[in-house]
Amino acid sequence: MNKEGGALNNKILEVKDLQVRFNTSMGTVQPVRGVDFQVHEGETLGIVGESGCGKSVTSLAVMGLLPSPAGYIAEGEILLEGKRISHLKEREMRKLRGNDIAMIFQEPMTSLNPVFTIGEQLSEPLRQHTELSKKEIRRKIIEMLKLVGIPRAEEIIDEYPHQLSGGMRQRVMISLAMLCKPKLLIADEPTTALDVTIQAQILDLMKKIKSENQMAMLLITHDLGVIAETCDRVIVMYAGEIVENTDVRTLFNEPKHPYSQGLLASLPKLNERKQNLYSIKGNVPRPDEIPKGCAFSTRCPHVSDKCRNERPPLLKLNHQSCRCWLYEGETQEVMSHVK
Amino acid sequence: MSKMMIENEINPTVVFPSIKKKSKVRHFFKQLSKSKTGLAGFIIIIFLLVLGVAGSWIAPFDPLKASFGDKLLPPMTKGHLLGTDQLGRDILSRIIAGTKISLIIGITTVFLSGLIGSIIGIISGYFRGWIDVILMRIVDVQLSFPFILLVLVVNAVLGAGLKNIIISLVIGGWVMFARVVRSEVLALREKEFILSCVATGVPRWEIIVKHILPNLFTPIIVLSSLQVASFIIAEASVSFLGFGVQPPQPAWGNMLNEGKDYIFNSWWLITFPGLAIVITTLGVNLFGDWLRDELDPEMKGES
Amino acid sequence: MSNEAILEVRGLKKFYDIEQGWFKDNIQVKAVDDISFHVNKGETFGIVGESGCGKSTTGRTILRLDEPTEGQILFEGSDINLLSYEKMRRLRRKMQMVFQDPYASLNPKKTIKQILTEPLRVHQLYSKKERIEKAIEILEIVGLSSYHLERYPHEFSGGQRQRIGIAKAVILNPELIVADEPVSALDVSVQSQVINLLLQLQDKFNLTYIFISHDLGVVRHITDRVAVMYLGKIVELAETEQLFTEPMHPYTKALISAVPINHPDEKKERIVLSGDVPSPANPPNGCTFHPRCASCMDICKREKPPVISFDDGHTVACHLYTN
Repeated sequence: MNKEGGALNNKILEVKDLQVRFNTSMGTVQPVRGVDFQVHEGETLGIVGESGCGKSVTSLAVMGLLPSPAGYIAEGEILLEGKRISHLKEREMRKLRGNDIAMIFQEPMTSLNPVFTIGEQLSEPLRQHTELSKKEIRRKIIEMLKLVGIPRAEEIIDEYPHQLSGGMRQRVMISLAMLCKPKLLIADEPTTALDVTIQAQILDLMKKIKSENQMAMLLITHDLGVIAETCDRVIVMYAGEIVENTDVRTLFNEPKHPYSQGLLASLPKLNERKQNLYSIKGNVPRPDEIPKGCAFSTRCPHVSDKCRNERPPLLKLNHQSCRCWLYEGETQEVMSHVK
Repeated sequence: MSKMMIENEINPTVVFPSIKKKSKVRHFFKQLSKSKTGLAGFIIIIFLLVLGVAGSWIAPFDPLKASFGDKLLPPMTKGHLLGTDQLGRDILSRIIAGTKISLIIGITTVFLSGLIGSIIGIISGYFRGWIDVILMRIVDVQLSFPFILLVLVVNAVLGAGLKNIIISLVIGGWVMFARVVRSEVLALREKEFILSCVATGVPRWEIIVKHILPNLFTPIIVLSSLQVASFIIAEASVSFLGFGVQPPQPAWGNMLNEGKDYIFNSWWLITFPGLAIVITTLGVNLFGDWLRDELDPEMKGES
Repeated sequence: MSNEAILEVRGLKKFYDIEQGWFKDNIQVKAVDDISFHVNKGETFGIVGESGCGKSTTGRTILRLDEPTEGQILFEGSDINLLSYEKMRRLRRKMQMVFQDPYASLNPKKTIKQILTEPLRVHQLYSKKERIEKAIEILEIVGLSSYHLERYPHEFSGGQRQRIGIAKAVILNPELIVADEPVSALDVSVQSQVINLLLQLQDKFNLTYIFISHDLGVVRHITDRVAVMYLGKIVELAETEQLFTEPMHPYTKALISAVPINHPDEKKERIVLSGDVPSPANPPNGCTFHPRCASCMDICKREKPPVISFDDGHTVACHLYTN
């Protein structure tokens, strides 16, 4: 697998200065505070961060699935192959979903309708987006199920979701996503709910599909191991913004942002056995508790006065971009809109 | 630079406070005022309570005083706002007097059947085993009888009178509470915090009283508010059929019974007691529905 | 850490009966199927496995939160499975549990003060005033403060709630703590904080842990010995480092190989298991792992493998090692 990044010429997804707000009974919160990234054809971009960082909200925004009217894109744009999709009406988004963009979620049980057979659910996108006959649809489905490694495809097609195991269901979800050969696959914590041996199978499957179809993939997870396994490029999110954007090797070899460094340092493998693990002090702030200045300032071991008062912009460095005042001297070029 | 400052502004300083005991009452009324139906129901209930308590002072006439010269007067004649019945008694005053009876019956029966039903539900749900099987079979058998029919039969056996109608309603009504409470207890005892209590070594009775019971208040209160309506209707039905509260003591049900013979010419004998039943039931149900919706998300928000 | 066993489990079984109506026989789910092991005082004993392997059931059954179907549980020498309800209740002082879900393991209607003083009150320890002092003391040890006494669980984050749950278990100064996936529901950066807390407390109070988890990375880091479970049985048991560097059972090898790599350049030999985990209600004959095992032999399909022990305490249940 080519880890240096796929074909960099074709930009499939571009997100510019995305800001998402939610109206809650306690006021307005902004879980995504200005996010920029791109995913190219054949490339897997990982978004890594802990709960509350805004990664899932970002993916929902891309799919047009923000719970409205409470949630909305306050600013910024989302472009699919150069065309704006962030302000499309629901009807047009539906044409894209399952067709150009597909999404798989964490809980395959709740993503599949329990009262329809697998076959009925898989034929849905083909009926929506193509003109194929029933027979042809069935044939295509069986082909796809076999492709994702489901052995008894002809039988499974008439079974119900509850009759399958978690791993099988996730494979069904993947085949559902792949049926219309999407250009972009968004996978939100696809293996978190699965056992580790099944997770290994699913990750291998996803890598295979990606390389065979030259598909662009956006993978959202909190698990650095999954990132190391599958991603070409990675963005690290914290408190609604990107704090580091780099290729996967650089992230593991030379993380620059103190938060990325902290996350990597707290992995058990990298600590001496039976000794205290490195841990980042403090807690992830709630959306309404984000500190003034740099969002990470309250937990950073290298914090300075400037960090507490001024929010750092995303700075372009040699191998990555990093939102941290520590690297101010290394560059004059600012990546993000902030200035 | 200015854009950065603006972005730093978009940090709402909202806090999620814990609602202390004092302001719980204030919070209750604030939420109530947001719901048209809930507030309407609440007002109706308060109105009924006032009538029930202060009725004898408000009523314009003596509800028991017959006056043959004034019989079957239509509404708005000679100071009788709602007319008089076949014995010349003021209907408005009788309805007000009947409110007191209905309230006494409604509240007492809910309290007693709630108490008995909850205790049985808790024992059944927490201890399971053969006690659960036996108790629930009794519940099932009883539930297979139509509620009003059951109340009627028991009342016919016991005889008329206020005390007996209450007993009949309690016997008919405890099963609902037992069922609901039992299923709540079944769900609760599997919750991790209950398991944690067992692991700590908290004695069983203490787990039931200190941990399970406080989590039962909500479903019990909601069920009670809705059962009040059922009980009032049941009492009215029983009294209508000639059992329960006997004339001359005014109860909405027996007023309906007496008035049914005059339905074509003197419609007011039946209409106003009927309206009283409808409005009361409606008010209690509206409030009960609001209460259920209000208490549920709060519980979810707390855990 | 001593070589004295504080807990010994012999032939533990926990079966569940699922009724199928009047015309079919009950289905019996063998959640825990005849396991035996011991835990030394002061050590951290790990139990790993995937969902459905029975590790959580084992944890609960050891503490009799779920009554065992059969078997002996020897705590400090005596079989607690024989104790009456009341005697067992009093013994719980010495054996506590930390639960997985920080959002469900604390009573939402109780204050932290009530939650922490309850264990002391229930076992009639200390005066009322002293209990509050103890609660404050333990709160500070776990990284919170007396300021939090009058608050309710919903006002805390997941990591903080887990600390409170741990405080509740430790305040009784027990001998043994069963930790059932204590960090699985927490964010990565919080996990390391809570794991550190567990390590500190073990040091300070001389605790013995049974650490149940599916996260092999964490288990490798903090446990001294590990048991690997599959479909209700212990398939392998060894000292932690040895298990990870020289696994013997084919399932253990597959499990270790399935863990995601730690660095993009790391090359891993993946042993891919065919098929899915069978249902515990209908386990395969012979060795329950045989349908998925790459080294399956004829005998594996017919006979359950014996437990083979090696000198260093390493045990494995596999026909490959019968010499």
